[in-house]
Amino acid sequence: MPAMSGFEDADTEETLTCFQVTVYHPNQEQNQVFQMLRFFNRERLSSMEVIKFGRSPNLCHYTFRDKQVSRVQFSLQPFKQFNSPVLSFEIKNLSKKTSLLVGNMELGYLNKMDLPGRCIVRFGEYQFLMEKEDGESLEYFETRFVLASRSLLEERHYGKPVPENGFSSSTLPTEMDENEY
Amino acid sequence: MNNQKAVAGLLRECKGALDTLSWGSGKEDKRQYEQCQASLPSELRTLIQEAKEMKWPFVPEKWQYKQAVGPEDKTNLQDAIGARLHELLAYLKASILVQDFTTAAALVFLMDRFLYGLDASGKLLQVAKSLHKLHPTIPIAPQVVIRQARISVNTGKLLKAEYILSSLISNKGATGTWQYNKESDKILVQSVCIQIRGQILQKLGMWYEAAELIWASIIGYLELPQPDKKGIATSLGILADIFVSMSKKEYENFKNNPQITLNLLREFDHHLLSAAAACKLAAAFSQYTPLFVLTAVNIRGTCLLSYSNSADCPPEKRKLYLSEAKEAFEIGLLTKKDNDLVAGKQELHSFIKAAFCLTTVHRNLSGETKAVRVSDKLCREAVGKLYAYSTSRGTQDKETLAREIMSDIEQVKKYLQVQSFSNLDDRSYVPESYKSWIDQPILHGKVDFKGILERHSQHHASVCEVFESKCKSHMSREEVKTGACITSLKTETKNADTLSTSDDKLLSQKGIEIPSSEKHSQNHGKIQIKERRKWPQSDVAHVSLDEETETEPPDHFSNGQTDVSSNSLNGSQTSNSWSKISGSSLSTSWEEVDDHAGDVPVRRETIQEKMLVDTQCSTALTEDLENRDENSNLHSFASVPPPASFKDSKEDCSGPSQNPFLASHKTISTASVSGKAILANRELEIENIQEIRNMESKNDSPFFGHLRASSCSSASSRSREIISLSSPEESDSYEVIDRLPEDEGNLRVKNGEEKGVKTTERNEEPIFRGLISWIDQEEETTESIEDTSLGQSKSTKLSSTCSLANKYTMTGSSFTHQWPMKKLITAEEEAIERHADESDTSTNDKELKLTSSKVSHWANKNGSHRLNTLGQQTCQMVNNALGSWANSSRPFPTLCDDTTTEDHGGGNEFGNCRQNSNSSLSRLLNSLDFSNGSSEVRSPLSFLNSSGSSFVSIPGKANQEVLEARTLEDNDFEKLLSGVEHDWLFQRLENTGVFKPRELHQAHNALLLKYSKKSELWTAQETAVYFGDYLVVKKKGKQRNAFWIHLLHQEEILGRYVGKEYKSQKGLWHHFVDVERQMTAQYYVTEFNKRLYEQKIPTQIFYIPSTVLLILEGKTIKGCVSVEPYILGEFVKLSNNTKVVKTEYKATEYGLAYGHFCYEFSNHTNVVVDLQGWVTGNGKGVIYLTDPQIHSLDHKDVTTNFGERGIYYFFNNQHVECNEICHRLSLTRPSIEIPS
Repeated sequence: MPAMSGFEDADTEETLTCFQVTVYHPNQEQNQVFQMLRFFNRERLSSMEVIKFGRSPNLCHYTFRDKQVSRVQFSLQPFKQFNSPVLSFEIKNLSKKTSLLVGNMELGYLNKMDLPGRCIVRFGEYQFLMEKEDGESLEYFETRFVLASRSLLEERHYGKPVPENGFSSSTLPTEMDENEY
Repeated sequence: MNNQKAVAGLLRECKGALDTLSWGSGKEDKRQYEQCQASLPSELRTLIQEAKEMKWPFVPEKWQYKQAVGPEDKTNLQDAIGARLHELLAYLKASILVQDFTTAAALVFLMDRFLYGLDASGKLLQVAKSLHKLHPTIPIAPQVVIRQARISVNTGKLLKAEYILSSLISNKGATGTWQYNKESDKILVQSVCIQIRGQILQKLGMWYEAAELIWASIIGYLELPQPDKKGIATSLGILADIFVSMSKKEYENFKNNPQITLNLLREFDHHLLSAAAACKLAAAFSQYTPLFVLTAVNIRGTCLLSYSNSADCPPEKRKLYLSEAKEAFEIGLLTKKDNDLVAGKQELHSFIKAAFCLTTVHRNLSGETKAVRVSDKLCREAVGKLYAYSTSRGTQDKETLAREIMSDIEQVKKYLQVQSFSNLDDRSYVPESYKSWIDQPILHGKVDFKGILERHSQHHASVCEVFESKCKSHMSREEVKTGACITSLKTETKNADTLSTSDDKLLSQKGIEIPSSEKHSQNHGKIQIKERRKWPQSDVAHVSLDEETETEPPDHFSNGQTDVSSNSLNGSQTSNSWSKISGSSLSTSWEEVDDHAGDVPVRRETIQEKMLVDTQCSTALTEDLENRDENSNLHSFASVPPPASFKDSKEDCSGPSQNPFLASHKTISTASVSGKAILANRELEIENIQEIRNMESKNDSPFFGHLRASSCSSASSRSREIISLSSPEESDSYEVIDRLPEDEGNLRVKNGEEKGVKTTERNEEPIFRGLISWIDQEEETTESIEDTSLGQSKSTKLSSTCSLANKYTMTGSSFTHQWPMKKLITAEEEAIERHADESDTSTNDKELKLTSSKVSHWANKNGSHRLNTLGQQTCQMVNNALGSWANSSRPFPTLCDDTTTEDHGGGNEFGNCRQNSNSSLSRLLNSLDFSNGSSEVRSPLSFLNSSGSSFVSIPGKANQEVLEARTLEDNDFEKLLSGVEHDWLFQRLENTGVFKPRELHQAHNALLLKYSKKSELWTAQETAVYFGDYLVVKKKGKQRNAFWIHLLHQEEILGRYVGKEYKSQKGLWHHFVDVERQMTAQYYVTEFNKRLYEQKIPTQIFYIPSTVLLILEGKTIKGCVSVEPYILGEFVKLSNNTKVVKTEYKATEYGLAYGHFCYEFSNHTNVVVDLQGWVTGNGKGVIYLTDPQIHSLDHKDVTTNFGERGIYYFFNNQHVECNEICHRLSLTRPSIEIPS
């Protein structure tokens, strides 16, 4: 989006719901399982899409380079709750062999559930901290991946306030920056 | 008594006479003239004589400047003039014909105030302008010039008003050749101007600054040898009105300002009480003039009512204040005797407000009694009628409406037992108890008016400066020095002005603009631009002039010519005025920004916008300025029944023009229903069909049910888009649909069945209904969810949906009848619509398949948690469908006679589909028809409903909660009325869910919530509102629609206000955040202005104040919109909320400096971006902005701002380098890091 001129261009942009995923795998250094993810990049996606995560580049939008991973491991789909003006996401396990842990809920094959605004999702040795920052747009949302250097389970304490928008600010601990950025 | 139609007609004749004046008048004219003169009573003849002698700058009331008022003084000028209005108008015309222009100008002067009361100022000002144009040396009274400013304020042309006023103030009232009889009259003129400036600031929500100016005007009035009681009364009323809106803090500041010497402020602790006292005084000062009394006591009552609701009011005194409020409103209502005709928007509005507020007082005193309920309803109806009155073009209508409104008021008076009071002075409209303070001094200490003027001189000078260079060229040719340009320059712009005065929408523009453009054509090469710009304007007038317009265009030309010749007699006036216009790009840039934008491509848009801006002239879309011929073409056809002209004018219209033939399709549709169903099947994916087949029970009908849902959804995607495309028709259709659910219908489903099954003829109706019912079903999703208490057995849901269906069926039929009443659609709009339709329908196909498969899928899996998503999707889609459906059928009604509308409507529907090469859609629609008619109506209906209610695993309860959250308890009301903090409000509104846009053309009860950034409080007032038409604008907002709105508690009675609603369903909080943001921007900008002022930078920026309106039904929140005053002019975007900035506007520099300033001022936490509004060409003078975004590090409204990233964008993409303004304000440039 370069600076432009012309009447039509000055449209007010809607904020997008940002779906931020902080990923961790104990062997991420050696195996480069997250090689295919572009970290810190915001990617804009249509809300009509179902985003699949897994091994197969043909089937999945985000892939993990790891034989352990199912061709399609799980999917995320945006939707809108009744009486809510913003997007929510539901997560569905598409792996027959591995179960998916969403917080403390275990999802079997084809089980799905609404994703809380912030939660840890796990399968195998993979850990994902999924955080939703609400935006106005219903047409699009964006994803953003962040690589964690340490296990999310060790240092995260549930219930502790963390900036919803993922930005650091003066009032909040800078912990995130040091550890993850 | 005062037939408005006759008045309008006579004024038009006067104008015509001026425009076609032939030199040398006949004997007959002379005789007529003398007769008129002779027929007037001596009192009026004296007044005319005095006016000619410029004895006073404003026509005085007899009591106005007298301390001791004798019985002979207790009269109203209005009565004297009103009684003889027709004679005066005839005299005006006669004096024009015999070219006694001095008398004509005097008559204009004399009638001015009265005609303002009749909402006829626009036409009168045109006469004045023409007079002035013909004879620039004829003095035009300051009162008339100021009237122009007032009209400008009312219509939203604030800058123009500011200019007129500032010029009069700083030039000591100099205007044209007017010569003041007394030095003190200049002070009077200055005081009045300051007062109006105060009202402008009030309109802009700058309470403190407004109050200061109003106080200054009082000082001025008191400085006169004989204090102007009328002026003081008006100022006190305004001041009180401002106090109502002020926060406590602001009031304290005002009160403690040592320069403010009002005694009133000393006596009362609470701002509302001193405001109430001020009004009492105001009423007493103007006790012989009913409208003034009414206005003053209305404000008084409002103050007392607010006080009784406030936390500061001791509970034991609440009753006392309520009863005082009651008395005030009653006095207001008693200013009119039973059978007097009230004409004029201001007076009607004030009566309704008095009645409404009195009802509220009664409710507070004695609860929701029957009298209260009935009165409440009557007031609401009256508000609707008032809206109709102010938009009505037929003067006959106006009178009827005015009479109806007053009869509603009379009824309220009866229900609420308003008794007249005894009065010692039977000429007075206020009781004795009000007169006690009348002799008390208003001020303590002596203040020098000149000193006060001095304080504001910089502002006045800078506003004048914006125009100055332009006026000079003109001035040099005029004999008179300063201020001479004011009338001429102003009159020049007056055209455009009056034109856009919505209140005077009928103005025949001809002869004013046209001549000038004609002239230009002779003198200037640039004329093309000008001329085109002018043309549309005159067209506007035509369009709105009904049939008569058709004959007018020829006149134009002749007018133009005569004008030229007459002008040439006056020396260089012609080219003169042209140079004024063309030169004044700055001044005009306000009204006609295309000027400064300058070049051809822009022009077109601008014109359009300009036209569009005017409500009245929504038809003005016609003038697509390509060329003149086309214009007149389009134009003439706009007033002719459309069908024929469609063909001629635009190819795009060929579509609709075929429609009449399509009726024949009707028969086919029924005959081959089954066949179509099969066809339709093909459109669906095979697996779906199978799924459908698998459906339990009645094979076919559920299937149709799906089809219906899907076909509706098929139309889906287009509707939103189209609506945002913004042709007014879309909005209309939207509105119509919206209101459907509200109508109470009692038709049984049976009705639909019968029709569907049998007669081919009728078969179309069910289609209509079917669609509607579906659509509404969707529109109502939330509601229906509420209706059916969840968790109940399916059958209950089923029946309740059916009842919904019933309703809609009924409304379906009523619906069609509304079409014929709609405005004529211009060809262009049609064309747009058509395009939109065509392009959109093609996309429908895909989506159709998509959803239908989903629907069936979902139906098949009946009851799984998945319903949620799918259901919602369908909901949304069908929801969308409604717009498009209405849209596609929209043009039709204009094409056919109302008698057959209904059938044709159906036919049309098919027709459109066909034409749009969307065969599947049309087939589906056909089959729909069948299914709707069939007895299986219920099952399809139940689908959607169940989907809604099966809302995941948090079913019924959540919705119950929503419903509960939407109901305001008594103590919620109390809190809201006394003022609440942001956090309380946030918590209170948290679970209220989302709301769909409200239906237009409805009156509602509402809570008007104002936010004060200084005190961070939201304070509510109970009011009634009417939602009018959508605004017609060039570029619609993406997220919100704007529509006209009239509120009983609007700041400015004659002002125009717009409501903004979200197109998609949003939570209430959104509106509150919007308003808070705008008020925050306003708060910052006030500080910014101070800095600019200190640095003598001649620019001031204002943010239009915005308020929240919670729509209520009983005690339940039914919706929410935000409201702000309407600003007329070209709306531009200077920047957006990310990286785009429009440096081609000079104003952008100021805007960016403002953003930068905000960053510093907020301790590096906020920047205000997304600058948009109404600017001047050189960025100087006054800039009005609206709809800001604020990027904030504060997390409060995380969904609407980009936070750190936004601040980064601002400094790295928009405001890359500091400009001169930043430097002059010594802003430091921060280094902003790229956000992670």
